[in-house]
Amino acid sequence: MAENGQALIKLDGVTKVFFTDEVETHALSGIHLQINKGEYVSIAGPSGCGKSTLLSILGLLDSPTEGQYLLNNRPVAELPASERARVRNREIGFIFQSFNLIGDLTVFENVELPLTYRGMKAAERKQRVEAALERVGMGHRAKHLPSQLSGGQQQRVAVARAVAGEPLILLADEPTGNLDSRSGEAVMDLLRELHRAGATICMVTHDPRYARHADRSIHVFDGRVVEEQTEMAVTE
Amino acid sequence: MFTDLRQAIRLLLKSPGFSALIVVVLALGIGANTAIFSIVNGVLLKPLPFAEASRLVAIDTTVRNEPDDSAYLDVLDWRAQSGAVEHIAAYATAAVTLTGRGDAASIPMAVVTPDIFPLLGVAPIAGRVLGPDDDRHGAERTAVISETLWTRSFARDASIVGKAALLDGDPIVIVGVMPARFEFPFDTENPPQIWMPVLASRFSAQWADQRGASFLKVVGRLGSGVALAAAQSELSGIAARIDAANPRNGTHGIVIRRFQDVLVKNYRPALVALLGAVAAVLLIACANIANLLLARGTSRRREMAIRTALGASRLRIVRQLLIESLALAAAGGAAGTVVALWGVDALVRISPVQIPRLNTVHIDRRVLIFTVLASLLTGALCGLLPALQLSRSNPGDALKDGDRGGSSGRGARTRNILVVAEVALSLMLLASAGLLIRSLNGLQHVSPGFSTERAVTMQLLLPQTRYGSAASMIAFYRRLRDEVAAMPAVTASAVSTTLPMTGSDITMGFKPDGRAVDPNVRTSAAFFGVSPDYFSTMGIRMVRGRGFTEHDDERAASVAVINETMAAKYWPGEDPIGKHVKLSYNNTPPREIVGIAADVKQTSLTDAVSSQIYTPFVQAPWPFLTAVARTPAAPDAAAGSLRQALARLDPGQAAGEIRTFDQFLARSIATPRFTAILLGAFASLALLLAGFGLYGVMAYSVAQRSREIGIRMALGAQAADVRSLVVSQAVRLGAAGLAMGLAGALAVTRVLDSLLFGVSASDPLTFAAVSAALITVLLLAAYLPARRATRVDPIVALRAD
Repeated sequence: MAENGQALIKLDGVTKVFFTDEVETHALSGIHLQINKGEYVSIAGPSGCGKSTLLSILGLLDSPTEGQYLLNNRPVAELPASERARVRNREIGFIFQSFNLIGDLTVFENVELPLTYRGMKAAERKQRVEAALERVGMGHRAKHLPSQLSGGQQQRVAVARAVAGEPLILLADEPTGNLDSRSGEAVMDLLRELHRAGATICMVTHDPRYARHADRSIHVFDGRVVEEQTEMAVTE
Repeated sequence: MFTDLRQAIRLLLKSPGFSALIVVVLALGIGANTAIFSIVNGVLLKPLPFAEASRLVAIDTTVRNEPDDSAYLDVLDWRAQSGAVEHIAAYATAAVTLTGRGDAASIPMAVVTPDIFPLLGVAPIAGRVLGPDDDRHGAERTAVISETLWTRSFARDASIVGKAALLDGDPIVIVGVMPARFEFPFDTENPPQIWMPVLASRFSAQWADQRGASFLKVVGRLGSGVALAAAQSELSGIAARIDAANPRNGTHGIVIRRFQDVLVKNYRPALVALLGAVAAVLLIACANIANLLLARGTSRRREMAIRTALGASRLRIVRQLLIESLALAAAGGAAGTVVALWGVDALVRISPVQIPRLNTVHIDRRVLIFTVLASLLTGALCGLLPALQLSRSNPGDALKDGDRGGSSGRGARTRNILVVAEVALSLMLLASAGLLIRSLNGLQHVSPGFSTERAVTMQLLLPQTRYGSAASMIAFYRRLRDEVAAMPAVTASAVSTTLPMTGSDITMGFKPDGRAVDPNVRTSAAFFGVSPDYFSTMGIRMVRGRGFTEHDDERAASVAVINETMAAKYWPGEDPIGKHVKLSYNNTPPREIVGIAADVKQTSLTDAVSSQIYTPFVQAPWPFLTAVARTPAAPDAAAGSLRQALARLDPGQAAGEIRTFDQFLARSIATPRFTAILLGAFASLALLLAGFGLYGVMAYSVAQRSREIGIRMALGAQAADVRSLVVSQAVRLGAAGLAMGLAGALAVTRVLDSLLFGVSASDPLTFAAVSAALITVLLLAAYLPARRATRVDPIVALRAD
């Protein structure tokens, strides 16, 4: 994980416009955002405000229409597809609302998947996967299929998959959205542990209870950042 | 039921493109099956158009256990002594020259024993059939003619019955006219137009009193309730008695077989192979359609769940889905019948003309029943799996939003199994076609032992009325040689009794002088009475000794040339030159062997070469004559020149068959070519269908797995990783199909053994080549979906979040 205090992500005037037939939809309008290494940031806002689009751009799943995106001081907004895939694989860890585990693969294979795309040797993969699963308390379920796990357990596996590659940042999109409150709390505890251990986390959530876990909370409305609160303000 | 049908039709009309695609595939599959079955039905299954046809048997003399033609006197004895076989009749084909009705014309004819007519049970349309009194020495020469000849040469003049026509210069009284449907013996190319008693034909009468002259085929009818084995036993006893009473060279037996089996024995393996191949194509089409229906079924899970929730039983759901597939199959069957109507014509046109009864092949009631059954079976095969699968869905799951998180494996196994089966069947067909094509290729490169280039031939049969003596035949022969040699642009020419590979041959018994011959071993050879320029004109190499010269005339010492096979067989380790051989020809003295010629293929390119004996024509004249001329002229022009040469020689003599050697060779490989072309076409279709099948499964799989692919891409999978994911799935399916197909092909191709020449049924080169072709097509089929998979937008795929 990265050192604290330096800008890991810097968005400068990022705009995203979707063109459909004759309609232009401005999903994001001039976003300026900085996330430092070791920081835990939550992004909140109502449905359709652009938070998921923002997360997609942060995760290099989408490109901004305008503006600059620096990841670890490197401009990444206009990288070719293959390089974007490489960056996603090595520098970003995703945690999705609906877990997005692959049903035909075991827990072990799901966690191993991003490492195989790096061309990592099998022995090292095994070591990393086992460590990641132990870290989330799922080591004993390595041979199970996702369908044999509860929602909370599936999300733990998804977290293990995200951290196994030791990315620069974890991007979590409503990680508790499909979980009951108890499982949701457990996953949030897990993220907090990861953060304490040095992980940089950016989490989209509309649940204020979970937003409080972050160091900083950013509110997005109509494609713009309308408010930023630090942990203190959030807690108060 | 009607409600289900109405709903099925409405549903099919709702997606016309989908329905039309299925109907077209089914129409091609069912149509091809119907067309091939029409041929199988017409040639193999349909009873012969004769009375009690199932009891007709072919009876052959056997020498050394090999079926052969029979002697007239033997046939009379069988008829007199047999109780198990009701009617025994004999026949042989020949040709006669009809004169006095326009230009002299060579007419295909059959000499028959008069029992043939009551045996076959076909009545004349005018006059009467031949009776026992017609087949007696000294009886008035009589004949019955075909309706075709009656129309063509006698303008359907009813008064011709009872009048004489000039056949080979003899006045022959026409006693009856047989209907056009009467065809016997079967010869699609040259069906007999005249039937004469054996003794009424001067040509056959000369051999009728010789037990050593085997020239007749025999057909009979088993007595009611008599088993074939019982008849065989009785006839074997008769043969033994005849042999005891008439000692002759070798033991003569009798073999009795179902007439229809004997008639089609050369074509049954090819036709059965084709029927199997086209059925496999239909199965592959069914698998494709089942896959399409399975894929569509996934999108109908909700509909079926609602029906189940409303109280429909599983059986009811299955019934409705089956009715949908049966409706599609019915439409496919109807369209397939139209395809078959066209296909039968096309097939008959490209079929080898030698196939018996090919001209009577058409779509009849039995074929239509086959089509209906094939359509029903197709409908059931296509619809059953999707129906069972869909009816098994849990309505609770289906009514929810569907399964989230992870790719769906529902139905994937069934679809995979179907595509593996398609690949396996395709490989079996490809391997079979590959072997036949290699075999055909091998056949086309077999040297017949003589040059076939730019050679036109003309066959003649001299009538005994005008050419009854050796001197007259020799005189005609000499003039024919001169006339042909004088034809424009002829570079070389010769005359022989018969020519190899032309379907005409003379087999003659012989004794190698001074050699003890096992009486049970048949010593006979293909016989050629040739002109001195024969070997050079034919391009037959002289291995040792000399050929014939003009000095080897009728006054000179009798000489012979034998082939290498005969030399090695009868004079192993010795030089046969200077030795003598005595022919069973008019009690002529032994002939000195003066040369050894290279072997030539006699009747087919595949048969092993047997003994061959050549003599100067003038030393052993025959009424059979065949002229061969090498000329750069076009075949039609050369044929015209030959006819003109003959007309100058004898205007009353009609030319028989005029063909080039290449035409004869093409005819000799017509059946293997027909089988290879059709099987190749079916295999190509199967390959295409298997390719489409795999493409469909992979495309569907990519669509189903788009979410999974999106996840993988989000996790950093490169385009190559995604392509490899899809292609590796296809490769796994292809490999499984390939393995099963190879095992199946090894079993199936053994059945083709009798159709192969020069290539083993498990030829590794063929198996490797067809496997490579299949793998290429499968990779292509997988590539497009794989490429499409790389275009999955992870954001769109993950939007379910």
